[in-house]
Amino acid sequence: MLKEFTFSEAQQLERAAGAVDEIFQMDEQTFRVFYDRTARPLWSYLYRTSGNATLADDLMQESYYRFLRVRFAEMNQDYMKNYLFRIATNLLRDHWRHGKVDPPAPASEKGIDREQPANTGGAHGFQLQSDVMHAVQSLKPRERELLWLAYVEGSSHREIAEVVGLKEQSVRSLLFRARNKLANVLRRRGLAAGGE
Amino acid sequence: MKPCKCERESLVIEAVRTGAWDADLRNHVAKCPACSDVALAALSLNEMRAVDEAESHVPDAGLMWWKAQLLAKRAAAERATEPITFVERFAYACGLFCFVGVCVWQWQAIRGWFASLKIASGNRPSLESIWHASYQNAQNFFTGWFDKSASLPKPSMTVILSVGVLLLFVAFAAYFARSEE
Repeated sequence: MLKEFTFSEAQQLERAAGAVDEIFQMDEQTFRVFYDRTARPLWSYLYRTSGNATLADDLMQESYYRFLRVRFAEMNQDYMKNYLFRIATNLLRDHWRHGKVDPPAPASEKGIDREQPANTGGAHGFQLQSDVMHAVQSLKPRERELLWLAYVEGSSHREIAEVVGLKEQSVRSLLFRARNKLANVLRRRGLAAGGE
Repeated sequence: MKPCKCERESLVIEAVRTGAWDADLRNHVAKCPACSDVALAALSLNEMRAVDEAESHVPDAGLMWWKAQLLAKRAAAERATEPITFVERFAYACGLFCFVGVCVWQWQAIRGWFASLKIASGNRPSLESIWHASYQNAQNFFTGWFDKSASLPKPSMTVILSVGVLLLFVAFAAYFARSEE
């Protein structure tokens, strides 16, 4: 619908559009550096936790948009990264809560019909990835979040607690249980830790 | 189950993430059940991460920045036009309220108008007869309405005018309040 704006309204609109630069605390160059450092890890986190690549794309974009609107007291890279992951985690939960997409249910060990990982290491590599994928999918979404943050992102218990909104003590025990569960499933599938 | 923790777990995680294993840590992992679980879980998850690193296509930083700016501009524009939209809706609501009010107030006249329209048009109404009947009834309706308004006691007229002015004032006040926000 077309509207006729008065002079003051037009001025107001112009002011609002001009205020966009003030909304973002970060300048473009700083954002580029931060984005290059965090985009792939964030996408991977969202994809592996949700099991849906399209959803991961959408949520990543929304996460960065919300992140850019936050005013940080200090521009600490690690703190900002954790904050970004916290936004992404909350968005994912909101998404599931509002029933837009069902959270990925823990899959039974057979009959998983989800996307298969790409084959990057021949037939053996594919089998290995497939086993790992199925084992990870047998976990609950929260367990995946905790394990990913702890073992892939290398976050401390305190940092994980901030990201997922739990107490540090709860993170410790949940992480322990999730790790045991994953290790048991992997062992049942004939995988063992050798140490590269 | 009580969490059993080994003090070298963090070293194992770091080794898995960086790929820098030493012989001592490797031997420890082979003996320690907690570190063995940690290593197995961490290796599996980091393998998935390596696949994602190689396969995923994340958009360019410039594109993401541009999209974020676009969204912010749209949100700012929506915020700026919000008072106008609010007043528009308020005006529609006032109009509807007045229409319903007039209908209730003049219900007898309106009913008579429709009844006479039916009689005048008969069984096979022509366009001319409907137009003539409508014109006559509209004339009667408004004449009657203005006569009634004129014959209203003075306090009622004052109240109606006051309410009208108040509604106008509230609309302007709301507009300025929202635009200030």
